[in-house]
Amino acid sequence: MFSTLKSADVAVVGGGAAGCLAAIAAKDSCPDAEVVIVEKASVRRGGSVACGMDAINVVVIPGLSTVEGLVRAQMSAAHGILDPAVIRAVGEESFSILQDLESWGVEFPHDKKGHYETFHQWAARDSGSAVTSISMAGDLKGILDREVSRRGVRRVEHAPVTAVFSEAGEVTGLCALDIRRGELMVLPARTVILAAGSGARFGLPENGVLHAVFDCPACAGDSYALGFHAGAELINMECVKRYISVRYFNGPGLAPLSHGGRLVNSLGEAFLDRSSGGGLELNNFMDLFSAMLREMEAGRGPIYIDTGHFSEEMTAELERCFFTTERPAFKKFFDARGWKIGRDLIEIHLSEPVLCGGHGINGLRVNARAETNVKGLYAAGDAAANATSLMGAFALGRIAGREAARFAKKTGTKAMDSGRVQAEKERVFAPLQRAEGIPPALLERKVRLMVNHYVDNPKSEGKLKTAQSRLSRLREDLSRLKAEDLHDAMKAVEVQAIMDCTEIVVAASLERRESRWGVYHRRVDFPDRNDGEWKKFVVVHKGEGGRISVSTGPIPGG
Amino acid sequence: MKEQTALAEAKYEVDCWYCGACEMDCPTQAIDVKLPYLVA
Repeated sequence: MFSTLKSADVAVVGGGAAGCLAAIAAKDSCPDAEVVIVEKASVRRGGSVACGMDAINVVVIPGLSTVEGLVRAQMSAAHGILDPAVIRAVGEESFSILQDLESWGVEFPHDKKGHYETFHQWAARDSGSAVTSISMAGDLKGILDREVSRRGVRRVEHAPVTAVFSEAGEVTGLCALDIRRGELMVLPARTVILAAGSGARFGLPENGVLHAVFDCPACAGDSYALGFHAGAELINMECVKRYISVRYFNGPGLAPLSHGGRLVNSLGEAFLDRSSGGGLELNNFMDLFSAMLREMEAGRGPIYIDTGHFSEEMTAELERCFFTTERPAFKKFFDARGWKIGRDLIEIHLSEPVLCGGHGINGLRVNARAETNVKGLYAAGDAAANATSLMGAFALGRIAGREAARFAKKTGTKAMDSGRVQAEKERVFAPLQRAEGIPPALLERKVRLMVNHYVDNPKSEGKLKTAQSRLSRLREDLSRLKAEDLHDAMKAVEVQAIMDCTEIVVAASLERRESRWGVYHRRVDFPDRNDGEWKKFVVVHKGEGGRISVSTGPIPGG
Repeated sequence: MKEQTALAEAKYEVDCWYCGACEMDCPTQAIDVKLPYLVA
């Protein structure tokens, strides 16, 4: 039930887009480095781009957009609460990443003049050409998987990481559960890169079955919980994100807009179209969410995408985007509904609440070198607060891999505390040893239902304090979990991560006594945005006695 | 694998996001991803 693996120079937690780019960059930077990806599923399909992606939403292409334009646009979209140096670093890496991806075989279609097929993010209309999006095709994850293999990166798959250890502010290694053999693996590591994705499993989906969020549901906030317990700081955890997706499915609700679709209410009114007299000035997604909510509250919902005016060519292009990349099962959904693009209205809606550093702005706090405040601990992708979507995963992954490999060369392996490893083993296997108890899936459902009812927006002190008190009671149930098998044992670890995230979000939400980011942090008891007092980060870390410590800190360069 | 049917089944339906990768990767085309009744 216990094995110690050969130590790593760079241990990457998660083999998604960020993790793959991190491992590739670490090997490219230091070919002799021992680089390991530890992945809960498989590198081939792990992460949120399992079946590819139809576009990269953030890329700076010389002649079309600038890094400073990107920084301005993202800072505006985040209502001023991001580290501009992180966005700048992503922007500066972005074009060379695009070129690398292309050289590996990822397809970026060109127009008849030979230029990349680009479009402007609908949400960035305020910033002119600042944010460029680019169409993409091909088996992205298969290509990344191959590039990882070509470089001799070691991989440990079907192994959820259960803990990352640090001693005296410096990382020492990690523990992972071998889900096939039932062993706790101990991996001493000079550096660890947290790239285990978002908190996709946060709120419960409204239909009770299928996630409406774009992130892989294997991501249960592991990155945030692992980082928190290793001593890393988190920021913007009060920002509880929702996506706009096709209702009851995790298909991108706004993608049709980039293809010429119109957003309409149930009266058929294009309520965001200035020419229709709607008169709304949209600065970013948050304003869009607010506008949708207003329509619904005024009795003019549901909200639809109208593609009735599409030509056959436009219909074919949107069908290609929807049905062949990202979510091939989307076609089954359309068929089941009897919907046809170009003919029927497509209902869109806000997803359940989710935590995400790439689509949203919450996560581990990193600097432009992807470093956390713990020496040797890095974060990339949805794990890190960056708001630059898939390019953020690629770029921060690459930066983290490069920096970690260089740092590993200068530092020695620190001993992992055997007492803490033993305690971790007992924690992970305890639910398997109980004769009876609460199934982890049941506790998860209870916690996530509570997220919907007491943690999600609109927030108030009363609701948040109720959540705090109920969470404190539910903590006691962790010692009563009963796992039927190793998969269940993993779920027991995951539900602890979900609870950690929930408690962190509640603490941060109570601290920020204002409203910001539209429907992301809407305190009904403090309804206004207050830049004078709150244009700063709410920072969370693990304090004395393991308790959540909350403070505030300035925005760098702000 | 479910003994009664000799078919592979997802242990937790709620943990599947219907990406369809299993259907695409199956070497014998034995997998058919069916959307849950509540969704479709």
